[in-house]
Amino acid sequence: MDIPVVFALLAVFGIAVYVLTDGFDLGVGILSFFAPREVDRDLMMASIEPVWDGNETWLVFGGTLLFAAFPAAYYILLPAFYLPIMLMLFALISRGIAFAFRDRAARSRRIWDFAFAGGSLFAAFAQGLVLGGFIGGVDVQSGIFHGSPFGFLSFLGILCGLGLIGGYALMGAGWLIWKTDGQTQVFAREISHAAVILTAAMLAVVSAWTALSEPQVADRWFSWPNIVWLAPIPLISVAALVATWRALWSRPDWRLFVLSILIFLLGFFGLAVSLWPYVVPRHITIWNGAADPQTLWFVGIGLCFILPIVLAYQFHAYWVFRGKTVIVRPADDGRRALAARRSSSPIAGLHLS
Amino acid sequence: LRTADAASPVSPGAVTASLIGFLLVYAILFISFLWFAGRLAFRGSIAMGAGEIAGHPWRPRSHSAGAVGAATVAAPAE
Repeated sequence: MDIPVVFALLAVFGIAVYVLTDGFDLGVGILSFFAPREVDRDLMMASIEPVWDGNETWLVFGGTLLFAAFPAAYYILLPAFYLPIMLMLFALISRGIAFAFRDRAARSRRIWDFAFAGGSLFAAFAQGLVLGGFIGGVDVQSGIFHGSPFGFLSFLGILCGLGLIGGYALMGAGWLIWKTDGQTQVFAREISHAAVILTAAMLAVVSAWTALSEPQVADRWFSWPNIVWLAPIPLISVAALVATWRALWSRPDWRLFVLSILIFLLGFFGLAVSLWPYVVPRHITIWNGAADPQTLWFVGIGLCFILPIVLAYQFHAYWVFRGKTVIVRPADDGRRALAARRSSSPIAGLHLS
Repeated sequence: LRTADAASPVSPGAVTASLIGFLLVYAILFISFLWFAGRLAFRGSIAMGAGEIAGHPWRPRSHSAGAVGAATVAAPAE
């Protein structure tokens, strides 16, 4: 296996981990729009507070790896998606500020609620716009981006944006069912119906659109022997969606979260099948876009040290805060402390099925 | 390689828009910080004196924008 392919797999790994981890915390933010009570929003934010900024490490990781290992993709894709990426950054800033200020706020708490929920929503939508524009292809002439700043706007991008909002909301609901109990968990189970429907609809439309709009992609999926090998991907996806629908009110509490991750991985795999081997679809392949071998070796040796450290501290954060999230409120003042509890609480004995 | 040769093919309008966006966001951030810091300062040292919450050492949060005198204490699972 040659080195550019290894780095492509590493980049895919980084982006997949980002989508799966920041996905659920963006989803929790999106769902907080609909949370009925302030205590629900408190608990929802508390459940992701120890991990959300660690999850965004993977966004930096993906961008840096693209910069170091696939500079051609970096200098074509970032100018092409300048505006949606800026929108995503502003949205992520708004979320981050909300985490810092919401606890201190009294009267302005609603503002920070909206900053958190709106930031999550727009970040997800902006990522969808980038994804749609990426699938649709960017305007490249003589090796550089040559389109208008609004060239990213496409109907497919809007569909992808809605799909990511639905998918992230689904993962967020799965996370909340796993990490909370009582009324917040019931809220997550209720809202997850809408998330599943939106996810399934957009997954179907975007997959069909991608597979049918480009003859090259259609040929990859539907030509004879490929169709036999690739048919399991959509079939398992449909099975996973049905299983998800049936899991919404079931135990164990982690089931929906695991199924939503499975759906994302299947979608990701399908996307990889459609776009392989391009880093800029239909313009630059993995081998044309990779940096020179010395750079790749340099980056690779660095990654051997950095990647285990990042994975270890993130795992540690999840491990320390394992179990159901509880907010400890000392009686003397309103300051909260965050704690995790390993077993599900006795009041979680809601009749669910 | 001159700076002009190294610039990305991003339209000036887009860059202007994002620059204005950043200025606005950081202005809002700064005003919010002043608001919260000022309020905490006026409230005085009631909260600062607590020292410990529920037996755990007082610890400011790591991302410390406006974290004056408030604490989120992480209690590890037992």
